[in-house]
Amino acid sequence: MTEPALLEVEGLGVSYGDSRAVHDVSFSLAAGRCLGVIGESGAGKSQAFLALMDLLPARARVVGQARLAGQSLLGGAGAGLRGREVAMIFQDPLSSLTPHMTIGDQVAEPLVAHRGMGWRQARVRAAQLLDQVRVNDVPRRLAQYPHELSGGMRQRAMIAMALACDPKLLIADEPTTALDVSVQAQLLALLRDLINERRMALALVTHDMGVIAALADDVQVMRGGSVVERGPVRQILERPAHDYTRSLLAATPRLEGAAPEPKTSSARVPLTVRDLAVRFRLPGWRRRTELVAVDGVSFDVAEGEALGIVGESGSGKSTLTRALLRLTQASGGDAVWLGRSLRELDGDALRAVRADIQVVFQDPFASLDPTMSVAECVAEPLRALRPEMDATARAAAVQRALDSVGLDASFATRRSPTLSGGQCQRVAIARAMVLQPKLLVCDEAVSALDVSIQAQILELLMRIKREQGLSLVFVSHNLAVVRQLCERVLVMYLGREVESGPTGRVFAAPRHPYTRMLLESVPILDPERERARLAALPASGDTPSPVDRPTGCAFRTRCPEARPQCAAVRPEPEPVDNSQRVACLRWRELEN
Amino acid sequence: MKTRISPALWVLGALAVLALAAPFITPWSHDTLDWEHLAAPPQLDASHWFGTDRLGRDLFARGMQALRVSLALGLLATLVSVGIGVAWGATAGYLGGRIDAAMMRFVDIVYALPYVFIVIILSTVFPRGSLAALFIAIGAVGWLTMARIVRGQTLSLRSREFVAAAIAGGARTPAILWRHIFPNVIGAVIAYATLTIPQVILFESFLSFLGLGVQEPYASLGSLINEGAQEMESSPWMLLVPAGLLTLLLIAFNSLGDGLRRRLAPGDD
Repeated sequence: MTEPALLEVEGLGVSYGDSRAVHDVSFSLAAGRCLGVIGESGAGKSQAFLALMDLLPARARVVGQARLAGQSLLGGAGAGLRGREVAMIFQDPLSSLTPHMTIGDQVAEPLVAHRGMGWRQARVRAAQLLDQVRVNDVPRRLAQYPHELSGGMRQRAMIAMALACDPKLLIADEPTTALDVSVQAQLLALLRDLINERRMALALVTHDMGVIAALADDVQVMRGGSVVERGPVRQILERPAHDYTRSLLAATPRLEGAAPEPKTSSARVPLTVRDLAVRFRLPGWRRRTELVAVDGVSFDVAEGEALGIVGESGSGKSTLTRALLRLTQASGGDAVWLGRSLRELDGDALRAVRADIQVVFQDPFASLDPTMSVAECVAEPLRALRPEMDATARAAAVQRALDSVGLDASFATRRSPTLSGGQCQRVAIARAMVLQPKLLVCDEAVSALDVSIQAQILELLMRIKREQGLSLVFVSHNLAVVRQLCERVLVMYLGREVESGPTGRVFAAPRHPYTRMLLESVPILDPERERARLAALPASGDTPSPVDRPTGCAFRTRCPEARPQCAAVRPEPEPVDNSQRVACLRWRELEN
Repeated sequence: MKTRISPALWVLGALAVLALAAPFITPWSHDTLDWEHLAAPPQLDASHWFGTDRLGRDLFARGMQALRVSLALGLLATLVSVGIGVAWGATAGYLGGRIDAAMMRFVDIVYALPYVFIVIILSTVFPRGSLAALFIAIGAVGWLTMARIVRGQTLSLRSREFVAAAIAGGARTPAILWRHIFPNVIGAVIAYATLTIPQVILFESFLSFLGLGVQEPYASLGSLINEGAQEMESSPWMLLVPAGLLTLLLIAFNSLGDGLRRRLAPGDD
């Protein structure tokens, strides 16, 4: 701590007209250390750092002082420092990279612009940089375009660009939020190494306590534009002083703790899915390729139980739910709802079944029609499926549904663009529950929400499930959320089941290496254990594209336990005991 | 960039009121001949404010009558093209697949037909100078662009989650089109419709200039410009009056449409 501060910020404020986005923020950051700034959306955490980078719109008014190694950053003085001394990476690497330039050229560009290198020399250096951020297969990547890379690889390319001019300070704004947990863990490990190796200072803006635990040395908690608490990471995570910090920590879902126990086997099983497959034909000029999104998945959902479906992006979990809802037609197998095949139903019979099975989607803003009022949105399923209801009865049902999700009558006439994300998601749940369905399908229903809102929505779902005996199919990439809500879990990889069983059993004793990898990727809210975990993390790549899936076991390309036989034989799910199943050729060997 | 639309609205309102009230303002009608003032320049006595043409007909009266034709045809043909275009485009975009391909190929085929020939053929079927023929010809072309715009918008709306939620909620296809697709494309439709009106007016003027449109004794802005162009050197007002009216009308509609487009359908720039 004796090291002099590299970045010093005093009394930083950002305001737009009369509204203050950031108020009186001060901190200092030394080389080789990481400052974590945590807060929910609207806390002003990004605004503060955008102000340091001079990336705010012209109408923003910035006050205060900021010095990088003694040189002032604010008021136009810092123009020469940005890009050379300070670099920034953003949440969405796809929109931060230029689509028409190859990765190699994009990483080389700052070297040419700021370092006066020639293009040839800069490209060689770009290859070294990409190698340093552990991009695999560098020679091929150099000639690829951003859309050809996976999210994790893109974010690495962004980091390579940011590192091109050896900045003293790297600002990372939600660098891993858009990524799968396994990829997130790899990137966090990479950032940690970069700080240590390069003695670089990292300012990390995030809403995720797990990311803080992994990287930050010092933490400041922001709310409503002001810093409410600051301190070393251990103190913030273990002995938070401010109520808000405590509530953030309490709302963060954890993997530890008991999962809900499955009901006794006598419970009715309304939904039975057998060998469900969804294939898409991809248009091609000469040969047609087929994308197998879901490849023969089977499961049951019992009455009043929640089934969690987990997996990384590209695992086919969303397509599976769309097939269940008949938003996509299945190409094979069947889903049977109360004795009726969902695949064969059509017209009015299908519409009648829809009253039983409802859905809540991920994006709270996209799932409500912006031209409709809240009451109209909620009334829509009633209009369609309960035509006998008159206007008064319908209005009463809508109001009951809104009450049950905690929205009072004043919301009925508002339109979705005036609501917050959490309120929109409540409306979406009210719309799904207004028909009193027996099964609710949630496709990443809490993933886009801030942790405290996420906790409220989860609480709401658990209450509805308990009170109405509702069954749930809950798709999520967040294992901690699944642990809280779901009695059973189904782990998917590239469209196939790899493991399934009671959540408590699967999470406590995972049989499949993929399940183990997913569980190991979940951040732990303990800085020391979390850092030890990241340091020990094996380098494992990204999910392959479902178009060219590996032969045999699809996971073998990333599996630490893979053997030659895994390429030859495709493992089928087999029972471990009477409730748990695993699809791995070597699970018995790996037990011992 | 914010485009102000109120000046355009004022100009259009003034032109419309003037066009409709013209018969009560001027003592002349569009087809009365004033033998004492043949090809007279604009003057206050005898109330020939915009002058007269070769046959002594008052250019103010004829200009306003032409404006009525242009406005009526522009609005009516746009209304028809919006009706057909929105229904066609939304259906094609929403249903997708083969139906979409077939419907949009039909649009492409009609696009490819040389419409001047269609108008000439139509004018042989219908009596010469029939407004109905003109109307059909313009309507046949006008809805194509609208259909393409609406289809594009519908394609992006169809993949939005509120549409999926409506399907899961049991809504039928016509209800989804009516309650979700139409209200969400209406902003873009209004904006582009406002830009269609001047196109229609210009197209009509072009046809009338060629002698295929409105026939004597009625005038349209195009036929007036045609006549004026022949006397351009000796009596420039015969060209300047209809050309000025047409320019004013087109600028007003175009800036209104552009302003509306920026306001109602942002992101299309």
